[in-house]
Amino acid sequence: MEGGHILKKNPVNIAHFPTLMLVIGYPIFWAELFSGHAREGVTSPAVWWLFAFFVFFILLRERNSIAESASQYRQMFFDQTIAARIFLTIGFFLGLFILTCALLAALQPPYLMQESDVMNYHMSVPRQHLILGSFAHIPWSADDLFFLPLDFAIAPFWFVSPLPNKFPQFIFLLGLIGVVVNLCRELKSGAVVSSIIAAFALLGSHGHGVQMGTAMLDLPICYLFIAAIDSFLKKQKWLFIVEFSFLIWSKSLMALQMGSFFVLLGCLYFLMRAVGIKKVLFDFQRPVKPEDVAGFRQFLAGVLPVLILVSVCVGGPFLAKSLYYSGTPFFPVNIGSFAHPGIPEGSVAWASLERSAQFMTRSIHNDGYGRSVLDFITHFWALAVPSDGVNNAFDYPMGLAYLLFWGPFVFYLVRSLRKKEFAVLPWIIVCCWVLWWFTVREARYLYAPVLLMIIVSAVSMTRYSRILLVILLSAMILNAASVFRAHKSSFGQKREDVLRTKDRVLADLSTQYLLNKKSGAVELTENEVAFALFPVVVRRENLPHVIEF
Amino acid sequence: MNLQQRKHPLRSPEFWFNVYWIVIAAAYVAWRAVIFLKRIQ
Repeated sequence: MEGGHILKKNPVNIAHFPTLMLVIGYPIFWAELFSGHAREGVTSPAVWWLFAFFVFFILLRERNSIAESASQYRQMFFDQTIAARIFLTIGFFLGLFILTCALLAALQPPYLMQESDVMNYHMSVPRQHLILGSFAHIPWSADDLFFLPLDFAIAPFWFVSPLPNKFPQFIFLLGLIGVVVNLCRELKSGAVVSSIIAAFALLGSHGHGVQMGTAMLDLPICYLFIAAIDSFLKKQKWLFIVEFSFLIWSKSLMALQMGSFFVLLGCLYFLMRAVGIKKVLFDFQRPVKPEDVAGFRQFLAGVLPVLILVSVCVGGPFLAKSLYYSGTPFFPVNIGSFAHPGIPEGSVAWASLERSAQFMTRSIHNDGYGRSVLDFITHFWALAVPSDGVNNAFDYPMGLAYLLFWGPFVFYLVRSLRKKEFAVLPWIIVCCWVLWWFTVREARYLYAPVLLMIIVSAVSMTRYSRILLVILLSAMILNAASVFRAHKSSFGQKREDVLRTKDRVLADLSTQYLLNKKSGAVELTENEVAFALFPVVVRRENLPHVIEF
Repeated sequence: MNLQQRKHPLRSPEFWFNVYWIVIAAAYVAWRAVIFLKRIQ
């Protein structure tokens, strides 16, 4: 009855349901892989049944707290003035519209231009592993050396149908809204208005909106970041362990960035202590009391051994694989630093892998935006707006919602410095931002810091002026139009009809392959094989994804 | 929590936040309009 005991001791907030998907999906992926059950590229629907069962069970168990929370929101609504009620109602329906568009888009298989990483490796690599029934390196795929635990954990949910589905990402979007609301309430002692403002800002954020309804994994990673903070503050041991483990191993660079981030934050704290800080705060308004420090110390002491164990299970296989084949634990960074018996030095494959790694690391520092002090100052604006057409040097414009909260954030940060306060969450944002500036400067890697900035600014405001509310609604309208425009062509279409031509060819080839009971790998010229239900081999080098062997 | 707008002294952060929001929203809309016009030309 250990499982029941754990659930009894750890109430699962419904916002953290996506974490449950990872807990169910990750072991099932390995079971499917080694049992050879998914050799035709399609996984068992058991994952969805298990997830639905736990969701039903938790909803039933938490029904009283959900009803209590709903009544608080209802009470808050009726306590407002007419103008505020109109704002809340319009915002609610705009949010609902955006989520409906995202839901309809999430019911389609991936086909969009902005889902290229999904085609390149997020879905293609786990599916090939399932078909091959092996975790061994896929010799033509450089991307196979990336950290893919998040991809593996969601894969059983993606591949229950021959055409991959991206509905799991929609559940992560709902979870993200939930944890944003949770974190606001946690920081502001249960107050509900700031949580609504932050949720509206998320739904009005153009940068986040670009990935709503798509199969990309940056919103799930953003969810893990915010959810891990929420679980940490609430001292929810198991949720924190799972969320933090999947977060740090979600990408090769993430582990390195997290390491650098903790060093940077620690240095900053000791530097400010030397200067003479008077107070430590969670955000800009909630102080960290001595009993909080003692509580967190105790929590971390209890969590650390299990966190290391879970982390080894989650990241270990990928780290070992990267080390064995590319001589670095974090492909593509510094390949060949250690012995790499998997791909011998001097082989055709090694030369190709080196070219691929060079290609990847070069593109990290080559985004077309300068790195001078002036560039740093101007990028806060350049990040928000398109430079030409619809994109900018950072890929997606972050949009108006980010700008609305950037000013107050800077104001509160300067004020807290003048008061000699160390505000932990705001400095986490600053550290993330600085690391972002010196590494891969794509807007999607700022999803979590921007959202955290919105949260800490929203909870710090004592009043929300009508000007802010009207502009926030305008941002939501702009984002609603953007999300609708991005996905409208797929609404009402059959799943097969939205596919790109090359994916349709792969789907047809798969049907032929399975009908004729063929065996052996099929040679293709493409690495985008998420729709292939047969083993694939690609022999022509196509950097950075396909290497010669 | 009161969502009503109130009168603030000139030096209050709320006043300057309002100024910031108006300026930033106007600049954002103008920027997007220029980019849009450039695109359709």
